Amino acid sequence: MIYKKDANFPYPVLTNTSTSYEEPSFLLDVSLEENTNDYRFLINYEVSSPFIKKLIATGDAQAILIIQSKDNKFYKLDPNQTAIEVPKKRVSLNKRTSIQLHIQSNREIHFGENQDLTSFYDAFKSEIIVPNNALLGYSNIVVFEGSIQNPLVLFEKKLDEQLTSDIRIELGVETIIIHYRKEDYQFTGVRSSQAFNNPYIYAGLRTALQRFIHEYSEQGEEYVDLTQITQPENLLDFKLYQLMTKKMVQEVSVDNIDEVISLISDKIIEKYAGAVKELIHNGD
Amino acid sequence: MTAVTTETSPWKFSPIPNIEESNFNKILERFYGLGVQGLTKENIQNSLDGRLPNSTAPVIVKIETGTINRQDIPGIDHVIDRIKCLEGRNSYTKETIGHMLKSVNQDEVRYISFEDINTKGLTGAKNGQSHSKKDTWGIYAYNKGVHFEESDSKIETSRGGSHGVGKIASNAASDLHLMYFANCDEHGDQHLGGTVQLIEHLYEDQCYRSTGYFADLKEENKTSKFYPYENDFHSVFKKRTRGLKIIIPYLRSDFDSEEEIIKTVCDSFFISILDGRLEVQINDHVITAGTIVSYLTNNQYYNQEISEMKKVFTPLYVKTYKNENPREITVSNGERDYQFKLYFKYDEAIVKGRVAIVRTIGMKIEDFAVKSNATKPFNAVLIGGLEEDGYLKSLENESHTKISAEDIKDPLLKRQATRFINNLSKEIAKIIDEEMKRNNPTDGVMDTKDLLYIIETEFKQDLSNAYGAVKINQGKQVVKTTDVTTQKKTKKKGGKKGSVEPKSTGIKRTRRNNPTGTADELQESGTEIYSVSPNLVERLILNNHEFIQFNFMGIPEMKKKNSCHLSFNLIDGMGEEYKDEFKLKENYAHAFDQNSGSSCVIDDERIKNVSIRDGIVKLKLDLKPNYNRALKFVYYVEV
Amino acid sequence: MEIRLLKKGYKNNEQFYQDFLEDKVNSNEEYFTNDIITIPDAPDFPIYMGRGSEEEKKQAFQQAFEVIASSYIQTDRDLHLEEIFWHSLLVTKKRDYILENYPVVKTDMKQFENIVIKKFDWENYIYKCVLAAEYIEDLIEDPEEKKHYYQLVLENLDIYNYIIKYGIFRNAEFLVKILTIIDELKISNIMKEKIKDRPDLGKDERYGRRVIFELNKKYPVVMSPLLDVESLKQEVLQALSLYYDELNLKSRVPV
Repeated sequence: MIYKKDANFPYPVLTNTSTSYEEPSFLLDVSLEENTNDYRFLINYEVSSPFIKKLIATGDAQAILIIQSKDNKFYKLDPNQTAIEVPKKRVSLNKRTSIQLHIQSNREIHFGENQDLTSFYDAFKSEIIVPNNALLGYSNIVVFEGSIQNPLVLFEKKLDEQLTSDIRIELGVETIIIHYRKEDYQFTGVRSSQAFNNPYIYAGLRTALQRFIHEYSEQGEEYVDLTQITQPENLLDFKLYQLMTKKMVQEVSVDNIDEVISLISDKIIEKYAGAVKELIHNGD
Repeated sequence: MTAVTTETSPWKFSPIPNIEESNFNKILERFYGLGVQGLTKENIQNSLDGRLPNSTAPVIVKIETGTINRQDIPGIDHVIDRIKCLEGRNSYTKETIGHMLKSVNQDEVRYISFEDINTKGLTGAKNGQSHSKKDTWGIYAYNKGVHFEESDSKIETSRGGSHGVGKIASNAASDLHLMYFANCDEHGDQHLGGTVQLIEHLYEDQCYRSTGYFADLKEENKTSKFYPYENDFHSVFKKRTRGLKIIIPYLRSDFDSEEEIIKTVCDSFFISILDGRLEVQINDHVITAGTIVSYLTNNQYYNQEISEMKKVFTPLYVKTYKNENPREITVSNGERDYQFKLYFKYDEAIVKGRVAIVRTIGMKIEDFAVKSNATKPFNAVLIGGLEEDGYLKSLENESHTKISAEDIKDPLLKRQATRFINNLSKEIAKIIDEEMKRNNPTDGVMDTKDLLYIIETEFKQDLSNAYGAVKINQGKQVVKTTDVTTQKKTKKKGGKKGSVEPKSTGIKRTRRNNPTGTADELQESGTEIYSVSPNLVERLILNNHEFIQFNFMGIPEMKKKNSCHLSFNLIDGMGEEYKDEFKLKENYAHAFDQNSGSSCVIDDERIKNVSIRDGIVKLKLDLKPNYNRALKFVYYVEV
Repeated sequence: MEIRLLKKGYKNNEQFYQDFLEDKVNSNEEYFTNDIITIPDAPDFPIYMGRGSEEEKKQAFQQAFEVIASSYIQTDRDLHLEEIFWHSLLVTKKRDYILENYPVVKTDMKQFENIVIKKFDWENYIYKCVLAAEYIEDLIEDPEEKKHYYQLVLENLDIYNYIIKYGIFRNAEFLVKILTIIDELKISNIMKEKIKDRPDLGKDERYGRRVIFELNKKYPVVMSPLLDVESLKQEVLQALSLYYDELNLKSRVPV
């Protein structure tokens, strides 16, 4: 459980309002990434006390992230860990979700070497022994505010009666362009007409990702490790790169293209199926 | 042939030599099938037709449903008498008669009335059955299948009233096929008439025609003429202002729906109402140009989801009519051109596209489906002029529910009608196509915002601090402590131990067992209790001792105090305070006042008489072996 | 399966209750928002264990655990831990099942509110089962062991309820560790018992609840959910000894 109440602890505890530490500060900042299945919490924290920082670095103390929404989840963090992933089937983000970082001792800690306390403790600190598994500090609380969807403009359409095929997918400079030979193929005027074009969107994404793999994979390889490549210069590729990394996709390959599409988009095929069903239903 | 009867019954039936027709009038059944919707449309249409020609005031129709005593229905016993004599010859007629007989014993009778105001009413009632074209009372009351024609042909053309069968619509709504009409003419003369549609029957050894008239019969020059009764009847049957009032007692239960009436009024007459030419009251409801929207947006009457509007389109029509600019379209029937105004709205959310065909008199004739475009996403309203009205009227079927060429007998007129309807579809289809192209450019950005997006999530710092930071100020929460980040900058440099940024005083007057509330009264002992901000406290456990130090320097409430009592509230893992969970005597062997050098008494869950020197309290406590070193506290001082 | 979500206003609504009985809810657009949830599978399971013999309740719980574990907890928590999801599912898809298995719902609205649209917190049987299923399925691999732990939950319902009632220890690791400890120390019966010699604690205190409360008091100085089993066991014993006769206790600690 996250802990909020200011109270008097039996020994000095590092918090943002502590009067026992000379420079009391324990700041936590969290940001979020997500895809269809998981949340990734990116954690950034700053502890003002070198004594405590050292304990964390040596493993004598442990940073623990607490996510509290419908119940509590505790995550022990490695000293350099900056992210944790939690599946959406185990965490629900809503306005009552709070996050806090605690530091816990992994062994008995002697405060004799703690130079960061106020002078009041000079006389006593050599006698202060904090037992194992005890709290050393807690951070501010970060509260989930809400999220907004920022749409990406990735697709354009054109009517081209001169086409030699019914549909042509073109990878443009900034967008994927679907060329239609007949206006009818766009399903204009039909309710939910957008959804009927989803199969073309899917095909367009596939084509674009295939080129992406071809373009950015190592010689002879058939996959791209998104954490290794530099940001693409090509505008369309950059949009794809941005979309994939934001959705926590690490690797895109010939084998997992459909999976990647599923992670970076919101139920393309399901919405198409829903629109067809509705049309059938309305036709009755 | 009218032989004088010796009966003084207010209900008159024409005697006939023998019974030929043993069935009820077929039109009754048809109107019964049209329900209260048909009844309402019929009567309101008639009222609109009766508008005062030179007046700009709206026609007001008051529809009332209610209950009256059987005794107050004029001449009812005579009608019931007749009904008891009816003999059906086939199952349908027998069933109908059986149904009537079931109703005759009711003492309390449901009725509906339609009263119009700002209308002409009927003329020449005093003249009774005068056979003069000018006396509209006579034509209305005593002739079947004939309607009077307006002398002003313009008005006649625009008249929506139906093909002489209006009254029967009202009979059909009554279990006993009974209806009354009360008139008040321009001179203020008030008369009451009525008709009842039975079957030919034998009564007191004489056969009679099916229709009964509520009228007086007078002999004049060897012939008999009907005369109406002066209206001295119950108020339900009274008509005191100029106009006509239809009263239908024994209202059929499936017609008795206020909700259906309201919907029909809105669905069929929204144009008249919006244009201020008609106002309708239904019991307590008043539908005017100003109030109609509140009915249209009420879930009780109309489904608000556009995607669900598949049979009723009125809310869409009203929006379209109010918001769109009309276009002019021309529709030809092969012989001449008709000009219409079309209000058109394209909206992809609409599931079924319909055009409301409306007459200038304001009644909607049909939710017209344009050929091959029935599921296109649009909504429209079509209104013509006087000529167009007249032509549309000639195309209407008898129940005013659609235009069609089917019922037209003359082959030429029939051909023209067919052509007209086809051309109408064509013209509107052109506009639908145009709008579709305009709203769906073939070229441009594709809308994928529901498929491809990046989520930006925001987290905020929770600034609220449990102690002393939140003050309830007229119901609003005010965060008193400063932002976490600025506190980082204003470091405390060495200096006073336990001193706090002077934003809050650090102590809060309260009660121990109600720490979040404020104490408005003093304790019984005349002392005050304050909770102490943890910032003012240093607490430390070393070996078997606990040291507690309070720093009250600069706290005004503690200025002149030199002694206090201390009590401890336990704080659990969720931040909850407990007054009684921590027993002082069970945990502390001894309390030692480091300022004074003497012991303090522990009593009554308090450490008593702890000295305060220069604002500082210094306490040393000896711990008992079972002391729990993991606990947290908030302290209270009593001075 | 597609489930339409109910609009607010269905609680404490006599008309809604009537419409449920008469199967008129699904056809009434007014009760629903535009949102539809799709889940692969939504099999029936017991939703209310407030009545019946001990054996019946046990069977019902076990069946509920099994079905919820296999079909429901793989969906997003935004679904399976949300009141509106369960209420919508029960009302729109489980009417027949409910009327057949809980006919008392037909008698009055209070029963309906208590069984079908019960508040989704620790007192709600579905909530109890969902959390137990999540926790046990996530932390325990072996199927036999899983069964054992479900059994432990049933044998220690009082303390289980207490743990999920208060936010502080509503946590998978803590629950599993506590059950393990109770099992190893064989103190299940003690934990359930009422505390007899402490009138100051009120009328219905149990040893198990007080143990948890003692752990609560120490939090976060001692972060119980993060202790290993042995350390937590010591804490539990220590807490219990504050209330329970020490002599007997010592004999329970396995050597």
